Amino acid sequence: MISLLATRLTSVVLVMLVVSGLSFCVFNFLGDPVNNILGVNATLEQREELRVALGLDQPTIVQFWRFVERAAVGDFGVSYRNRQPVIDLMLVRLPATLELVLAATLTALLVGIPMGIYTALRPRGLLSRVVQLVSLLGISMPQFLIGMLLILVFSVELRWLSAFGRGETVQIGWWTTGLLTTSGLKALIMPTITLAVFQISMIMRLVRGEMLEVFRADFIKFTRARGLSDRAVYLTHALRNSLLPVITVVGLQVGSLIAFAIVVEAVFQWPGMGLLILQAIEFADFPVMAAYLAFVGFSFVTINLIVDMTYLLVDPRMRVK
Amino acid sequence: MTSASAFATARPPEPATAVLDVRGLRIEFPIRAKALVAIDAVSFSIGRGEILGVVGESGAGKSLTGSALIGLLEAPGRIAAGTIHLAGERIDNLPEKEQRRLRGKRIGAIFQDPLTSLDPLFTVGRQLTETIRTHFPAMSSAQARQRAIELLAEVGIADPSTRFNQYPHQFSGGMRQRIVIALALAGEPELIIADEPTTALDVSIQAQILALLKRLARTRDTAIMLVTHDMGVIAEVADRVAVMYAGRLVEIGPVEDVVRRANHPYTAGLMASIPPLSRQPERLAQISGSMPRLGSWPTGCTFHPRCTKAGPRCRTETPVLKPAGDTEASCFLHQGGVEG
Repeated sequence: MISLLATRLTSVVLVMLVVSGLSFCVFNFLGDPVNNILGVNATLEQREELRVALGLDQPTIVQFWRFVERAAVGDFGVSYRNRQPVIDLMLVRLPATLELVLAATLTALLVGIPMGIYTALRPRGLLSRVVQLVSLLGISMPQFLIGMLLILVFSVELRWLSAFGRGETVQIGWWTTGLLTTSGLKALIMPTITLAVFQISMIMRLVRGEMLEVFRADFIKFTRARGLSDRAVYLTHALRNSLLPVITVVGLQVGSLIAFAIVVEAVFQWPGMGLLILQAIEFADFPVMAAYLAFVGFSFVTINLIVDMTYLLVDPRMRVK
Repeated sequence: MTSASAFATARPPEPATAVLDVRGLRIEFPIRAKALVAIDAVSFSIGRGEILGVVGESGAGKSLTGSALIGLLEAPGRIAAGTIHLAGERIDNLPEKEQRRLRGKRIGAIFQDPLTSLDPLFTVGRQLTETIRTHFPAMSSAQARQRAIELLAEVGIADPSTRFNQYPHQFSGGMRQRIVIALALAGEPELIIADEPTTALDVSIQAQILALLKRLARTRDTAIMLVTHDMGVIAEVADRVAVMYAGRLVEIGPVEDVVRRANHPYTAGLMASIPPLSRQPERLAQISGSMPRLGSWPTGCTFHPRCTKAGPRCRTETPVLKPAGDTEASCFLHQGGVEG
């Protein structure tokens, strides 16, 4: 188990090095940082001074190492647009995105898994058919469309929910949370649903498919022959055996939720990292883009590590060897 | 085989004392407007401590009979006729809830493949205690644990209290089948349905598992229905044997009589196809043709197209089991001749 952890951590480091390499390329080779910072009217001396100050006179490999060193402590340089350290911009935006992604993940799991179990147990029931049909819609509708439809119904027509922003937030240390105020929670509803619809549909279909597969397994028939209650057969034995592939996919999906959040944040003007990166792309703000790239890479790697550790908890067969 | 003939219950039990008594069982699979008859007119009984071997080719209906007995017929299969009595009490018409109460409690089951019969994600101890506590709700978890360890010891697992905490993948195939047997015993059943319990195992392990089943039948007085396609297994442990062909019971009787003096041409053909140990035959005897598929069974005696002794009566009339020599056979050869 320790060795498994060690291998996983090594691969985490390798992946992060590759991601840093990409992010370094974005930072250094897309456009000229000197031009980007000083503008076109600067003198040659000023340019040379900045070149030395930024370390651009050093060999590329040295520059890369210094980039990695700084990135490791969260220093991604200064945003071209706001003239603020990139890390400060990111930290202000991070809570909004993470809270949205967390809410969407929980919603997807809490709705998707029970619906998957239900449709697997009653495959011919009317409710199952309705749920299956709706989930097909959920999988095929583009997110921005769902978001705009929600706004149209609940903000424009019914005037129940605000169409943009996070509502009131509360500051806890450097973390600003919208989870502690009514307006904050209300503001979270529509973006969460928009972000979660696809995941709910997918998790539901996955759980259903896996459970139907497990129902055919010999050990389920034997569990029934042992006289166990339906509850024990389905919810203890069948469900736990269905969850392994679900964990894998949910892990990957949380990663992509962070990426999908860009669209949702744009639709709802949610002040998170997605909105930040959209603005950065418009202004060719390369340090922000480089930092965002590193952040997304880091999120994926961390989630994958957590997924691997969860495997060890759920499946005893992974623990030996 | 000597022990089988020496054992007192080699004769069929009196219906009153039989643990299991099946009469005229018929299982159908309704498919569209038609109903495919998978087994028909199957009657037999098993006494306390007796091992009844049920032998036949794949698709003859042996496993299906077993599934019907534990109430686990897969839909749309259903019992269309006949009765099943367990210790004198009719069980085939019980509601599902009542049937589940019998399952694992009064009727235990052992399946073919021990590698896939156990849930891989739970320790064998957990699977044992959950089964024990389902059937004996009054037991505390400590008592259930104690009982589970006793069961593991009883089926020949060394160091049971350590093994209790291990997962199925940490056991060999033979050991897993012992655990499956321990699980089947957890409810203290009167009857165990063992469906091909040794087919997936090495020959040397097979002998151990069979010896274990035999010991359990003797020491616990449990009735065992042993489904197999292996005559060697039957000869090894069974007291009586029932031979199935195309959904019907063609012959039933004490093992030694069926093996040595078969009265049904199909049984005789089966026995002739066992290679003798004494000499190397030129060519293995075989029954020509193959068993018809479900749904395309011939009229009359289902065996008549392959039977060398068939006459006109076999094509039109369906024989039933009747005493013939030392066994019971469903063949007109012993019921007034095959001529119409």
